[in-house]
Amino acid sequence: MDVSSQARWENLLWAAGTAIFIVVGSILVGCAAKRVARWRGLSASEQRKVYWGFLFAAPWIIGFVIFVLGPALASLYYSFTDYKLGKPMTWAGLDNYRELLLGQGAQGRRFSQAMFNSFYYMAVGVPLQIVTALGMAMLLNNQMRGIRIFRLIFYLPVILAGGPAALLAWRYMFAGNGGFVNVTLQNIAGSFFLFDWIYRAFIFTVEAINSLYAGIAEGSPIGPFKYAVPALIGALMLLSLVRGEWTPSKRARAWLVAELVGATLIILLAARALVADPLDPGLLLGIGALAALGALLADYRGENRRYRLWTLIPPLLAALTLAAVFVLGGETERSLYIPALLAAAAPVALVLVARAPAHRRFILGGGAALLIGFIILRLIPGQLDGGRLSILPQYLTLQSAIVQPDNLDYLKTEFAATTPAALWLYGLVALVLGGLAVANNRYPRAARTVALVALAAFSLFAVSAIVDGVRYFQAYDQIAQATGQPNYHFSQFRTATATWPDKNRVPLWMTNELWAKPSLILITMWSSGAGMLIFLAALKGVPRTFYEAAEVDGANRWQKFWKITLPMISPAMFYNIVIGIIAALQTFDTIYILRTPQTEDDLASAAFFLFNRTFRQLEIGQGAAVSWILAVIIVLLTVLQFRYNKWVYYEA
Amino acid sequence: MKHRFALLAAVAALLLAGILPVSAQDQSLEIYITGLTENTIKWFNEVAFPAFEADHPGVNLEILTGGWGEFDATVAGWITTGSGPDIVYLGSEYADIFGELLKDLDPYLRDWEELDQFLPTALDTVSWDGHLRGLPLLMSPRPVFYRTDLAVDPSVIPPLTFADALAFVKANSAVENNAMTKMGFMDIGSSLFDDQEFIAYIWSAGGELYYDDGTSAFDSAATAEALKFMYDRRRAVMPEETTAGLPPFEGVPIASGNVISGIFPMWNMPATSDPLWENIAIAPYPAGENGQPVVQVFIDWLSVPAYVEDPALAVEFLKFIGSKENAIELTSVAGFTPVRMDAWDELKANSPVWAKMLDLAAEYGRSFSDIRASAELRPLIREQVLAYLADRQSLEDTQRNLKEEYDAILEANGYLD
Amino acid sequence: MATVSGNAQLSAPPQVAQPNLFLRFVRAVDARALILYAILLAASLFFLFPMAWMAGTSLKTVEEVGQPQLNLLPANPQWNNYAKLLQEDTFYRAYTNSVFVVSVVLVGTVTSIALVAYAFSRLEWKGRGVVFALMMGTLMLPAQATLVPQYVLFHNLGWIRTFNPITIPGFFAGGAALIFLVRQFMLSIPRELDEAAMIDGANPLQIWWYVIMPLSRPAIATITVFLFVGQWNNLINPLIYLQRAELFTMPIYVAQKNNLQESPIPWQDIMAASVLFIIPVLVIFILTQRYFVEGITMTGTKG
Repeated sequence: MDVSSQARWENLLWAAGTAIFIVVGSILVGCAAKRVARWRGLSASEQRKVYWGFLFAAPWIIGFVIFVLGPALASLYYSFTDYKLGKPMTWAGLDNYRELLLGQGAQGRRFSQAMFNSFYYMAVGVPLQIVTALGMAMLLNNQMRGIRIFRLIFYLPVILAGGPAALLAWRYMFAGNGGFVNVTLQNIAGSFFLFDWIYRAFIFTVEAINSLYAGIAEGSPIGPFKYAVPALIGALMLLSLVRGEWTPSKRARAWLVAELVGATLIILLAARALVADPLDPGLLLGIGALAALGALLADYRGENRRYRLWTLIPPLLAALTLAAVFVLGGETERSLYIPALLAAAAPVALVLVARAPAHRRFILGGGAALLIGFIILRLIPGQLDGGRLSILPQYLTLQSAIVQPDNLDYLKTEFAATTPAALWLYGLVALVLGGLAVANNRYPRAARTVALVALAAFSLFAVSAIVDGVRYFQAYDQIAQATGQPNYHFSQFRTATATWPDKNRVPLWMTNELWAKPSLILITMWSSGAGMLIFLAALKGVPRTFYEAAEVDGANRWQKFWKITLPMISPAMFYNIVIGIIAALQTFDTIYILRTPQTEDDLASAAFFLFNRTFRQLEIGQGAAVSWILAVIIVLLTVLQFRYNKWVYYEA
Repeated sequence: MKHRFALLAAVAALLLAGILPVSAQDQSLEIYITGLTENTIKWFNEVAFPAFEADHPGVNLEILTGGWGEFDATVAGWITTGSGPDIVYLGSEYADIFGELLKDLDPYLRDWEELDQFLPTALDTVSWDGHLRGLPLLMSPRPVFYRTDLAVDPSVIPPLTFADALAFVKANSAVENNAMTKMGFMDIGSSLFDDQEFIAYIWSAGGELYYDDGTSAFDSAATAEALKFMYDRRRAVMPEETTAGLPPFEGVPIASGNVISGIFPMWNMPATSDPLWENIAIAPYPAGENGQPVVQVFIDWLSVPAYVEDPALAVEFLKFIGSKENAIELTSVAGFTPVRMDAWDELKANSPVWAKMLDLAAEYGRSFSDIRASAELRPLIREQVLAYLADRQSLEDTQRNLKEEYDAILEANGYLD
Repeated sequence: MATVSGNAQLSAPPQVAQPNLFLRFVRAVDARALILYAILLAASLFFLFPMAWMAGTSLKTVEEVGQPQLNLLPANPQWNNYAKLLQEDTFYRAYTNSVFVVSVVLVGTVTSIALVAYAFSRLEWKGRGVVFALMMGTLMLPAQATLVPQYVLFHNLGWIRTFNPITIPGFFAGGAALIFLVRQFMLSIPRELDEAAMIDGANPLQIWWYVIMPLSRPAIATITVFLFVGQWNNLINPLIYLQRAELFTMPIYVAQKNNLQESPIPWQDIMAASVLFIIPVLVIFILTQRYFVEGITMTGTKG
């Protein structure tokens, strides 16, 4: 008998043995459960139910203990050791976690990059996937002949993308020079001048976005621009406040936008800091704390008391993350980030809790004191992060804060404004907004005056920051030109800002760092049919009468989409986002097959880094630590998403 | 109720007992071979194994295969669990990755009289901590090939200094419409960056990877020279990072007509009987100002992991496969050069290409060995050198990062005690 | 079509002048539908192209593969590319191995999942909530987290270089998402059916088999298809555990074709192997696509 048929027979025997093992095991589990039920004094019929319930669930329970729980505990233990294959294993405490979370050394940096790549897949890939899926679903949501065939075709890539065959076909089609994708694109572009412009704009956009992202990921200085972002947000928010009545719904919407933009900003800055500055990663943990606190408060005022128990989870996680900063971080992190995070979190508390009138004054006073205290601290030079908020007077009077534009060292280190400063600014914006929102209820006129002043201040600040940002870019470029060297410290941004693609340029899919991630995302868009089906089902569930009523009211297509369709399918949207984000963190097979030596680092997801660390470098201990960090992030994301789904409209 | 359980349990126990033992009367010897062509595997299965089994009755040889892609994961599994194949086929840099996990074969091999026939540098490659961990099987010199018929000025072939090589590449490269049409130089992955090649240039610039105290020498002038050469050459072929590569071509790169010179392994070259070889010059790597030209030699070898229960038998097989006759046969089957010098005469007589290759290897050959903590060095080089080559990092920063981080890796792995 | 014309009626303002013949023709064809069809076709092109390209390439000659990629179809279809593959022992072995592995997994996993889902949906017992939450929690654990300890476990069981690590874990109701899917479906079956059976003296096992299972056929079919596709495509686990060429499954075979140290890369062979590899998935998918649609919709909207 040849090897493979022998192996098959053996496997069949094992399968039969396993079946018997499961049957026997299930009966034993059932009996044991019944015994426990009897011991706990349940009635006879309850005992019977417990017996049958556990009997049927036992296959999963037994498998869970053997194949998941045991290995998971083992890997949790490994994560606290320096276990490397072939070397004696010793207890390492938190070393693995510290190295990874604080971005220490080469591995910490590489882990940061992998996390950054994963963020990219979440921030760019998931929305594109959702848009594609929703677009396809809307196309298919028409009663037409042959629509089922189209549905089949749209879904087909999903079942193929999991295997190597389709990925290899893509790889072949992606060849840079003479590959099918590029040849087709070039032919289309060459046929008509307008198409050529679109084609070049496409190349430019992708490269600009990706070089910007790569620049942030590598910790390239983004200069004064980072001050401009929160200031602009503040100005925009205030503008809407000044323009009209500050109704509850408007306030809620404004707050949501502020929070979303702020959270995105913090994530970007924190991720940047994670790479550039080993002191910063405490921030990443802080995001969890901030969002969790918000989630807690958002739910606490909800009427549904059943959720109160659940709302204990986010503050616990928040406390945990803050504790993590405290334990893992050194003196500097503690003094810098914990107060900064608390300051940023305070306004969240302010706005959300302020609805309970009894607490309002207390919190308002406390928040104001906090703000004043911190600002004073920040304005004293040498305090906290070197008094970099002293740019405040300069920027408010439209002056440049760059003192020595021809000194590279000054620009690189001294001037390179650090993340906490921008975070502080964000906190400031949020606090002003929050304070106004509260004050507006009671003192509308005073609030409006304050808002106008704040609007002016933020606008001045934003303008100065933008102008200084451009100056900052130019200074770098001039130094590079003067020395005749490529603009090393700034090349990412130079590419982003300066290069309009020449004629005949082609996208270097898979081989160029700027195109590696877009290639992967294109493939995930190609295979986004699963999300499409969920959207399709949701679309079919929207009652026709809603649209008819809207048509009677004279609503146009766009309005119908925003006011009816989108709210009605929000549960499906929510589900797709959660699934998409978790999948983005765990991307593995695609990278495994599509990577090239040149782009491996640019593609590597967190899961891929884990695989490399464990199986290529045999560092089991650190690999295990990565897997647990990943698990915690996924749990956090899922919990947060379920807590934060206020905007999801559920029927009835 | 109770009776039913007892019965079921008994049946289960019987069945489990019946399926568990898998008989193994013969002593089996498992050999894991990676990345070889089907022909070579066939040769092992149909020619080599039966011959060995005839000499060793009761021994059953078995071949296990996989690719380099999943190699690390697979071997990690064996080593974690302390059981796996008796012989594992490894590439040059693996002596260091596995180190202590491989059996010290000195007691079995040091007295073997034929050991003298093996190229000394190859024996270094398969040693770790001064002890043999296996036996070299094949060697693959990886010289630079030049197309004498296509070069702009064939008289400069072979350029033997960095400056000459750069001039040659510049003269022979062309770009049209933001895509290459002629590559004055192509490397093995056609990405104009190869970590192994980088190390070779450090050597040919007169440098080493380590100082005498064992710390990294990435801050040396030789490293700077090597980096600079690779950067300038990359820019000569690929003026911008966004320049597209050559259009697709049929056959091996050197025969495409668009590739004027390049470093390729022999399996990526025409068959030695191909008439094209008349127009192909073989030369060592160019050298820096204080260095000598080098030809990098890769050694593929068979190792015996430490967990093996009967290393004597495994060594028997190593000796058998490493014999002169088998070495010569493998050359024709797999296209690699034998590591045994007594097998060379015959090869040289048969093929002028091999004659030239072997002479070069003998004169300039340096085996790819003593690369410490290579599993972690490789990603470090990839990350840092690529950043420099792609204009993202200055030379000074690159060298400093390489040095600092490699020192940290060496220290963590106990090389700096 | 009915609703489209219904819409047209609703939105069409009363006509003053009679449109000419051409306009009347256009209206009959329904411009909106035409545009929709055009968009649908264009989108289909995007989704189908890689497959078409795969099929086209698999019939090309070595020379054609080495040219800029302009033509979808070869000048002369090289059916020989397939004949060559089909004659390979390794191909045949990998194919049959794949079929074997997938069949074993399907039998074990589908049965156990149906049992467990039944416990989580139709039975009411103390502790159900906790066990169910635990099960949903496993969805969040990254698979790579347990890879190494699992390897040690399988080694201790003597399972390395056998099919067991790939097939046996499935027997323990592997896949929380699929359990969830079947559970959701089973929840929608009317309660009265169980109660009626209970009154007739049936025990839960009998109810499961005679009442619930026949009614759950769509859900069972769905997870069967999911499992089939997942297993057929599974690359990493077989790579790590099988190790022996005789045991290799199709994904490894296809991936290895790409790893072969050959130049130029024999894309025509790789694509021919790929086509043969995806055919079963395609056939199963087309035959059962109705269930696919239902299954995914179920996981997404009733959660």
